[in-house]
Amino acid sequence: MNRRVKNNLFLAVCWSAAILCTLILSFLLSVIILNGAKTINPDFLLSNSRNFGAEGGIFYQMIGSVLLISGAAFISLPIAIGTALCKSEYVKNPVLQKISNMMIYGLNGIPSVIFGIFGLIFFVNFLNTGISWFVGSIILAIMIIPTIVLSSYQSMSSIPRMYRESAYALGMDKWKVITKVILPQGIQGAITGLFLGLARAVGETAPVMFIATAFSGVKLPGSLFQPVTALPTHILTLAQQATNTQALQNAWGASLVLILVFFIFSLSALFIRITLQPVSQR
Amino acid sequence: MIKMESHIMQIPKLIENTVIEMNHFHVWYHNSHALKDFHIRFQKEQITCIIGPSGSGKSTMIRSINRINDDVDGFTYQGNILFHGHMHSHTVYQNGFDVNHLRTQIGMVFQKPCVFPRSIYENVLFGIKHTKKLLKQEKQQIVEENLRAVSLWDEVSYRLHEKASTLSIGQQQRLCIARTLAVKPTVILLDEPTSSLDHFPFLPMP
Amino acid sequence: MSAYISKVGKGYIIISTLISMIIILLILGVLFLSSYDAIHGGGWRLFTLTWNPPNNQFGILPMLYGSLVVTVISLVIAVPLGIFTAIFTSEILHPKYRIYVKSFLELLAGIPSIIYGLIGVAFFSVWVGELFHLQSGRTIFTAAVLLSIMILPTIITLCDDAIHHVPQKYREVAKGLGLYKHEVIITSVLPIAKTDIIGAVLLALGRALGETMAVMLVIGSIDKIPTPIYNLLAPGQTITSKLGREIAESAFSSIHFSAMVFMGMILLIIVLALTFIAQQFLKSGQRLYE
Repeated sequence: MNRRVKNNLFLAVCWSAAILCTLILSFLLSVIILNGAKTINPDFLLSNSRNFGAEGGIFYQMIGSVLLISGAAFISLPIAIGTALCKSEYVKNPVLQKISNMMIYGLNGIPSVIFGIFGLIFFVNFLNTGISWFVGSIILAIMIIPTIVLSSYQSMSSIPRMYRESAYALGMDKWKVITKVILPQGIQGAITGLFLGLARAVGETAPVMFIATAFSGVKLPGSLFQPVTALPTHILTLAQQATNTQALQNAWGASLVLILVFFIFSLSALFIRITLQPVSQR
Repeated sequence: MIKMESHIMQIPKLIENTVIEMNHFHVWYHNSHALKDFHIRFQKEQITCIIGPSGSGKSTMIRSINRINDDVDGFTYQGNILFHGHMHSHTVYQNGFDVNHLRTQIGMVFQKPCVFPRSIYENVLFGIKHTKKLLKQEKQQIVEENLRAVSLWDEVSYRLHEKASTLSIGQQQRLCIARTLAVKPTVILLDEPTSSLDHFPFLPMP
Repeated sequence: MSAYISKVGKGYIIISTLISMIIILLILGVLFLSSYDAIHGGGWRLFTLTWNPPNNQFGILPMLYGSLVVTVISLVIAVPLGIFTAIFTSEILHPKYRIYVKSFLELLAGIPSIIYGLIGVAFFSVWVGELFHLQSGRTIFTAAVLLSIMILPTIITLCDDAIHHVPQKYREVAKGLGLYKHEVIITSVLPIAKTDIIGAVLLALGRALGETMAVMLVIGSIDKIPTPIYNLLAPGQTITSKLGREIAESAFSSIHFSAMVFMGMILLIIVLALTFIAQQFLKSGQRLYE
């Protein structure tokens, strides 16, 4: 029964691969959660970091991350929605569609460190902004635009042609159709994309570490053009002093906070996708 | 749902000449009761037609015989099906039963043709080459024999190595039948295969 | 009035579209202009073995070697493991658990790379150091293993999609002919899912090449090709780790800076090419069976 032996062998290989993956991935999660949980307490969350982060908490790092991603959200959302509207309502030419898709997929694939270099050359040096949290927000916004565009485009293009035609038949002009018919249904895609994008943006280190963040000693920025401290760059600083157990302990705490924020954004995106189905798909 | 009853079939109840029998067979998909207390005996070397409105459970019944339904989500059954092969009789739904061997004995042709993205030649050999070691000459012979059996040979003999997807839907369906015949099953289950055939003269049973 | 608003609206849409489309060209242009000094002044001397800024030596081969080796090894580990696991989740696991496994994997695929880096520093490099009795566990091998774990969820979830999208009828026909499960998967499911799987692997390759933080923390950061060349338990350097470590230290508009940007541009071009090729594969896969 050669075939049966082969079959069992094949199934056994699949099972072991799956078990190995499960072990590795659950190891990752449990390491972060177990180590992080030991560190997190109200004091850690609400106090300033001292001694290059090895002591104290992560209060200002959290504020810094919130600033960075809120800026990114405000900049990216309108641009991405406009682009998605253009793709779904104006561009009918398949060649133009193809080119715009290439641009968006290309932008989505750019390695994060390249965004950092681009920001360093173009904003920090060429436009002479200096190291500034606002520039960090712009760069993060650029990074998440493709996610929002694709997600909103998907929900806009799933609106049946019937809805558009009925609106035009009522004598509405294109802009009215867009604001009254397309946007109300497309907005859930945009918000889903925004949350997915922010989940990615909040953990990005490479794009912001040269252009938006100082490694320690910074509290609240006084203007748009001052650096902040952020969670991912804080973890980087601490990981580089990994031989210091106190620093490592604080790094686990900061990682757990970061990963919780990431989970909250990802799960909200999932939740919105499930609950806010557009009328046409209910 | 309209219930199918075995007495519609008018089949003589000769046990020694029976190849497949279903006793008190029920099928559920999740909560819907698709087949209710079904009895039937299929005779050897005969063509049995089952007629009923769509949704009456014809496909469910036929797909239960070679256990293709096993992996369908929510499938549960009750009752038993017996298959009287060359040597032994088997209960089809039995733990440890060699279902793969059963399926080489009971071939099946589906409603819509489904060819693999390979050549016509390889499609005919797709099933048989796993059960037997074949020489090149035997392969050629099997392909020709079975394509002739479904009257496809004359149409495709000069382009056996082209993709099977280049055939018309009707030709594809005949190719699927040839592929099933190549395995030399004792029984062939045909699930309305002619709904895809443009013109199909005659199907000789082995 | 309504016509005026309509015009403003159209203007907004056009401007935002232009912004999204132009950014990528702007990035390419800025990188090209900034690396021009290095290309002009260095020429083929950029492709040599020694990186020593004080002596004006900017050979990027060690970094190219590092990126290549780390990426290839991580794929050699992650691709087979990922594909077999994807076969498990899509073909063997009961469908009602698939959705949970998928959501879990998609969450893992997005975990910030700095956290993988921290785990690499705190565990993997220590383990590698002890296992092979090395002075420091920060080696090319450590980086490759860490990277393979990072791309694993991406590979599993994309390959799972590819396999799951193969229509059920192919499985039923193959089963109906008496094929065993492994024959059904190997001879009828995988050939149909093949193009999508290749697309998935290319996307993972692009992600692995561009990964910065995790690699930077565990690779050891020595700008040399190890001796002998196949010694993976030696520290190395990738393009991304080099950029992450050094770009902020080099003076803007120096040759040093320009050579760094040149490396970044090479990386960007490779990754963009991979992205476009991957998209082609992912699309042709859909055309095949629709």
